Amino acid sequence: MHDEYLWAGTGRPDPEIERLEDALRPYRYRPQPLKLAATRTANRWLGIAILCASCFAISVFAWAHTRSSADHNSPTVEAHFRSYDAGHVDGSE
Amino acid sequence: MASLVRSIGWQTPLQSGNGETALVVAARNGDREAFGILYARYSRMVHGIALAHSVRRDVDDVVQDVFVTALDRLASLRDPGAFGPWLTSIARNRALDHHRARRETVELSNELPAPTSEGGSGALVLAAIRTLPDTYRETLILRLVEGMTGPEIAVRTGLTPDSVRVNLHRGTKLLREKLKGSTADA
Repeated sequence: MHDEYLWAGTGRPDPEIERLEDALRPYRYRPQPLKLAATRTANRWLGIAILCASCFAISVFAWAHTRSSADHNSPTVEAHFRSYDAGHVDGSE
Repeated sequence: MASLVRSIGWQTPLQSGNGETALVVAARNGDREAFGILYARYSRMVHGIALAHSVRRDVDDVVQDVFVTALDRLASLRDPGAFGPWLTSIARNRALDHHRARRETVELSNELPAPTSEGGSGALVLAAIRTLPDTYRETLILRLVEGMTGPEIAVRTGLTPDSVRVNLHRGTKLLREKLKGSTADA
């Protein structure tokens, strides 16, 4: 066995190591792009979308709640008419 | 980033030290280009380690998985100069996780057909390498399959050159005995 060939792939090739390298070549790494950016970007956009949807839902709920409370505290149209009528009856006539 | 790339000369196949530390720091600060360079530099090593512990059809998934995990955990790497050994450890763990998951799946689903065996004389050699102890197995695969040199294996994995040399010699000796034995059996 030639040490230099096994160690650094240089010098006089060792036929046995060469045979092993040839047999194993189909298993060698073939460079592929890293599918990292797309996944992480997609995840980020999904997160932003969920955040926006949550904010919208909270805003709608808060608005509806505020409106409902305001309606309870303000006089109704019917009450306005009633008070007008009462004023009218209690007036000079 | 371009100036960083110029200053560290990242195209040099065997690169370590300050240049690599700068790359790791840049990647940790969110520089995707820097992480891409690390991926280009280390993917072959990760592939070799994955091949040492996983079945072939899982290896590409393991490689992707390792780099996704590495990017997520990069902030936890205390010493940017130890990126290689740190990545080696992640690769080994993820490959073993995939292997365990596959074994459990096969055990649970007995009705599934048996996994197809990897054919060819390379399959015989690879199977023999996989029976060797971990340290010999990984070093031999990095040398014989991935075509990395001894010094390159040492720089990438963080092993000392002496350890790599010993692993290569003892591993090759054991492999030769195994292959001789299997030929005699046949």
